[in-house]
Formats: sequence, structure tokens, C-alpha cells
Amino acid sequence: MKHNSENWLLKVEGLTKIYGTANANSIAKTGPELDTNICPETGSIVACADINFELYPGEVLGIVGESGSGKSTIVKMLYFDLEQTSGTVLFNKAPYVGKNILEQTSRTKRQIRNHLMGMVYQNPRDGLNFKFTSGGNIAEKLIMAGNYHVGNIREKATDLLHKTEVPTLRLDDLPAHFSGGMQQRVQISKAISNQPPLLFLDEVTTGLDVSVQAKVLDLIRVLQQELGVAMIVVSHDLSVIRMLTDRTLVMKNGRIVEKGLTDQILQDPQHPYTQLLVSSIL
Amino acid sequence: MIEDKKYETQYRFAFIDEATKKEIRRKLLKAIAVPGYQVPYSSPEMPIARGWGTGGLHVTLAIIGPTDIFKIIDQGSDASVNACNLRNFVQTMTGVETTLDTQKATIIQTRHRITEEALSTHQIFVYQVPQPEPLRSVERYENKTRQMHAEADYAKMWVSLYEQYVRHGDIMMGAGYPVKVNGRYIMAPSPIPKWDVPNLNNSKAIHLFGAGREKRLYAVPPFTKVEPLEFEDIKFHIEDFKGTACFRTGNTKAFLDELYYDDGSKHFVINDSNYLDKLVQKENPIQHNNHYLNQLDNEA
Amino acid sequence: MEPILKIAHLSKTFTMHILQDKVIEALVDVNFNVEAGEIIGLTGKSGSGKSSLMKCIYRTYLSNSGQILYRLGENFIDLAAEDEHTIIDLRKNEINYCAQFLSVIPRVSALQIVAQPLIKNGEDKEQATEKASEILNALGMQASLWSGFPVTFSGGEQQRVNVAKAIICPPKLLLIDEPTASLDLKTKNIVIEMLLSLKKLGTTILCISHDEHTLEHLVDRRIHLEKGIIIN
Repeated sequence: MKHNSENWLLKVEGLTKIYGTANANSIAKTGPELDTNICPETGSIVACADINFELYPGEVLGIVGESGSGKSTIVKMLYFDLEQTSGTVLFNKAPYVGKNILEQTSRTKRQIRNHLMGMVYQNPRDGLNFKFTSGGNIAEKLIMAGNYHVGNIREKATDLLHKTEVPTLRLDDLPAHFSGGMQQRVQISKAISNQPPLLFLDEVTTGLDVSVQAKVLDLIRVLQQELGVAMIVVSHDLSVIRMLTDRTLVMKNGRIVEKGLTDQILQDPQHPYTQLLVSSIL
Repeated sequence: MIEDKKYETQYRFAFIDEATKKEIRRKLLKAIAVPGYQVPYSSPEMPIARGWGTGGLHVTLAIIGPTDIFKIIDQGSDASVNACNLRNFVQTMTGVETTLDTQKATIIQTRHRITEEALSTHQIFVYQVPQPEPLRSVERYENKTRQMHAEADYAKMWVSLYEQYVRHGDIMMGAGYPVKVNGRYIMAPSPIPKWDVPNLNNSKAIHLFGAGREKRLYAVPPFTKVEPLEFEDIKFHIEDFKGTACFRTGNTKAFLDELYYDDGSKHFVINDSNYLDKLVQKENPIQHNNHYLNQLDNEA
Repeated sequence: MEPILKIAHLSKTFTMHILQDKVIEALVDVNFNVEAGEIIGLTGKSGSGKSSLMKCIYRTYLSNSGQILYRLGENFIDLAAEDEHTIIDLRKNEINYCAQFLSVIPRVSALQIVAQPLIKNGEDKEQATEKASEILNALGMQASLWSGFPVTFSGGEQQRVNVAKAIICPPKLLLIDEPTASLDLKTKNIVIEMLLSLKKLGTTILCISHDEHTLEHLVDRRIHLEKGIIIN
């Protein structure tokens, strides 16, 4: 049962994002060894550069790093929230096989997002529309994926709320009246409503109370096992990474400094920065 | 009193200068080529204020010719103050024949109604539009709504219909129900009642929409598919006039106005003034043929 | 029949960059083979390298040199050099690691933790929970604790959950660290029985223990480590 190395779901090559005008030296003069993201010659900010990794179906990949490491930037580019400076992203789902999805038309990108991706943001306001009811928010994603039957939509939304342990009576309530943890759970319901093969989670429990955090993380864990969805989990919190991920990328100043199996990163870190990070866990 | 001779001697045929007329015509052609798509246009200054029908007037004045016969209605009536003023203005600026007769007119300008009597292939219907953007109620920003149209990303619109259903038990849009044109763009048909919306579908006439204040033109060419937005299980329906009848003709199959008299009595009367006149004169005008109206016949 | 595991010239050192690049040697030129179905006991003082050895096999530690050849069908793959995805697959299907202490996930009940490996394998939730309760029962854990959160359990109870989780889905290779620590004699024997029945199913077991009773009744042969070197 040798692993098939062509079986990847997502392949990222040379993904780079630079703010401002860069010159030929901008990438060389920034990075973890120089401890800076800012190019000394042009003042441009290298948010991330030369990012390469693969994600296999059903795998959970963690991206960990401190502020300014570039971890959120990567996920934002993959979800088309941010435009890349350069790079290729291949998505192994028909009919996009072999095409760089970053270079598709905005209409195609929207279709990819609606049918094949899900995203949960740190701030529920980014992922939910607070003018719509929680059911309406989930309906938005279902409608984008092609469901136009109100009865079915409501049934599916109720089912998803039940799965994420939100009281189903709150289907027609506005998320503005929910607690932070419940808002996150509505966001998660919305993100998985179209059963995407790929789910992004960007600092989803940062800012939540500890007990709520535990519940949300556990929910994500269970959903991942049930649905077999591939996930990219961005966090600065190593315990979240430990709980959810199979593999991890460690980032500093916009570059990947180490990648490996999560337990190996946490128990046998090789790179000095990773060792520093791991030894700093409270 | 200082006599205002400025426009008496210096206006062109149809008031607007030739270069601007050309621009409006070209934009109208583009609008017809892409049904339902909002085309930005110059929206020149007119001697009436914004919000009083400048858009409809722009379209009329750009397309009207000396042999046209012009009719204008306001909420179905030829006799309203604004309809009369605009009719006089067009007549003065062009010298064309004006009429109250729907069948006789070649250009019909309207505010918020389609005529009850069926239209034919030699007619152009011009709408005065307050808000051309159907998505404005769900998205404030113009650059976002443009992007939504470009990407056919109408989910927010659908969700707002869903929310109305959830909150009120039915979709509550009475006037200006959003429609999908030619299977591609969602369009605002101007605030016409739901009663009139099915008459845009597969129509024999050309329908041109002008929004002067917002500076947009759009169009529905003849025999184009125009579908009101509806879910698979929550369908579009026209207004229900069951139990009422026009008190002057006894007609039960037209859009009715509700009138309150000083003595407190309430009467219903047909809204389209020319249609009402024809019925009273026993002239048998032919009504639009759409399956919502046909269903009324079956129920009667 | 070729051995299931061949360790050749395995070395592991730790370089602590935050301690001015201090180097610690954990394993030095370790060589041994394991036959399929064998139960091997790893013994040695603490710090002798037993855990490091198991963790290198499981790839929690990256070995510096040498090979860890694992038999897959007719061929051998080097666990030390394989790509991460292969390792993740093997961990899902073939190789289990049972750490010395249960890694506690908050707010997940003991029953859920033990049933999880079965559910991951596609088994129905009801049946998996059924089997989990059987195993916990056999290990002598009171039914009232099954829906409790292990973070609140004593060391011995946590250990029962730990062992149950590792053996409920019989793997090909089981790496188990101090399975009988903090257990009373009766439970020790039950665990030893369970591991022996795994052996009957064909599981190969590498077991770290310093408990003489366990070593006597469980293992086929011992490998003794001192300062990272095998002494026999």
C-alpha cells in the first residue's frame, strides 16, 4: 500500500505575495535569517514567498507561526480573498485539473469557492452576514451551490445546526444575538453545507473562552473524521495544531522554516525557531 | 416679466443635441444586445429635476422621430399632472402627434405600470426607473454589485427573498419584483406591480428602461425570456383581486385601484385609464395573454 | 520468512539550538531485527534511549542516520526516509503507538476516545461504542466512568483508556510504552492477556517496560539499552 504520490488534492508552488513595488533583491533581502519582512531597498513587504506544499484528500495540514509569519496570507490567497503576486495552485478536482486556479476568471474562481471550498474566519463577521438569520446564512451557501428549494434548504440548515450543536430553534434568529462560540458554529455549519473537499480554518478559536474553544475544536475534529474533508488549519496556538492536524508547516517572516508530521514538529523540532516556539508553550 | 426665449429658438428636434442623442442611441443598442445589463450613459441635464422622469425622457427623446405617435402614462393614468407636463414638453420639442390610445401609439412612456391592453410589434415601451440596481437592497456598494452581476453571484438576492418568506410567510416585494432576463442578468423592472411582470416575458414590443438620476440604461428586446425569481416550492404569484370588481364596468380581470370617497364609501376601479375608457365605450380592447391571467379564467 | 522490522545503524542526536547548540546523543548505531508476531521487551534505565527508539520507528523523532526497514507486502520501505503522507497512511492502517501517558483531549468521554479508532476505520458508531464498552469493562473500569472525561481520571484509569484505545483496532505493529504502569496486579494480567491475544492475531509488539512481572509473562525476548547502545 505504497502511497500514490500523484494523489494530491492541492499542490501549491512558488506562492508569493509582496505588498508594494519589489525589485530583484526583495525576496533575498527578507526572511527568517534576516528577521524581517520588509525589503531594505524598496520598502516593500514580503508577506510570504516561495511557498511550496501539497495537501492530500482527507489530510489536515496545520500552518503555525507568529504575527507577520504569512500564514493567514497563504490561506487568503487560496480562498481568492487576496490576489497573489506570483505562484501556481493546482486543484485536483474536475474540471480544474491541471489549471492554475489563481489565474482563472473571477467567475470561475467564484464557482470553485462555492462548490469546492469552505472557509471559517477568525471573526464571524467576515464569514457571516449579520443582516440575515442563521438559516439565511447557511441558505446563502446552499443557494450558491445550486439548491433552490426552500423546504430542502431549511431541512439541510436545521440538520447542520444540529450537527454543530446550535439549538435548531435559532434557525430564524439573527447571529448578532448569539454568543461568540455559537457564531463560530454557525460559520462552521455554513462552511461545510456544500460538503466541500477542502476546508480552511483561519484562527477559528482565537478570542473564544477556553471552554468554548474546546467545544469548537472538538466539533471540528469530529466533523473532519465524519466527512473526511481535507483541512488547512491556521493558528498561532500550538495546542490547536496538536489537536487537529496530521502535518504542520512552521512559518517565520513569510517563509516555511520547517515542515513535518505534527507530533515530530512538537516533540523533535529541528529548526531553531521551531524549537523556540515549542519551548514557549505555557 | 422677462420672456424666456432661450429654448424657443435654440433647441434641436427633441431638445437634446445631436451628439448626445447619438450617444444615448449607441448605449441603447448595447443594452438591447445584452438584455438586462445596465449600461452607464451620460444622462444629460434636462429642464426637469432628477427623480421626475429624466431617464424615461432621455430614451424617448433619443428614439422619437417626426412620424411617431406618443403616449405617456403615470401609474396607469394619462391625466396625471406629470404625465400631462411631459406630454406637452415632448409635443413642443418634436411636434409629433400625441394620443391617449394604447393601440395607436408607437412610443409609450410610462411610470410604474405596463398597459393593460396588449402591445404589438410596432411599439416601444419606455420606462422611468428610480433605482436600476436590483441588488441595491442587499448590497450598498456599486463596485460590489457590478462584480456580482459580472460573476452572476446573486446568492444575496435569493437569500433576501428567503428571509422575507421566513419572516412574513411570503415574498413581500409588491412593486418592482426582481426578474431574470434571458437566463443571465437579474434586472429591476422598475416599480411595476406584480400584475404586470409576466407581460415582459416573450413580449412583442421592445422595452427600454432609463434611470436618469442613476445614469443607467437597460433593455429587454422582444421575445426574450423574463422570469420572476422564485424558488422551486415558493412560487411567484400576481395580486389577488378576488371578491372585488371595477365599479364602473364590472370587470374582474384587470389591475384595480382602491378609491375612498368623501362619504366613506370604498370603490375599486380599473387603474389603466385608457383601458377603462375603452371598456366603458364597449370597444373590446385585447388584454395581455399570460398564464397567470389565464389561471384566473380557469378559477372563475 | 523475512523479519517484519529491520533496524540498521540507527543513530539519533538532539541539537538544542536554544542551549547554544548543545548536542545530546540518544541512540548510537542501533541494530536489530524483529520477526513477525514477536513480542520484544525494551529495557533500560530512564534516559537509555528506549522511548527514543520507539519514537524513531513511529517517526515522531527524525533519526540522523541509519535505516528502519518495515516490511510492506513483499518489499521493505525505510520509515526514516519515507514521505509524510506514506507515514500518515501507515499510522492509520498498520502501525499504532501507545504513549506512556494518555494525551488528553478535553471534553471527550472515555468511551468516545476508545471507539474512535474503529469509527475512523469506517465502523458504525453504535457498534464501535459497543466494542469500546466491552473492552473497558474487561479492563475493569466501572461503567459510571465511561462517559466521564479522562482529564478527571486517576493515572490508572487513564492508563486503561490509553491501552484500550491502542489495541481495539489490532494493528500489524504495536509500539507500546509502559502498558502496565500504575495498574494493579489483576489489571496488569488482563492487559498482558489482551496483548498476547493480539499476538495470536499476528500483531508484532515492541513493548517498553521496567516491570519484571510484565516482562516475564509477556515478552518473547528482551533488548536492553544503555546510553543509546544495545547491550545484550
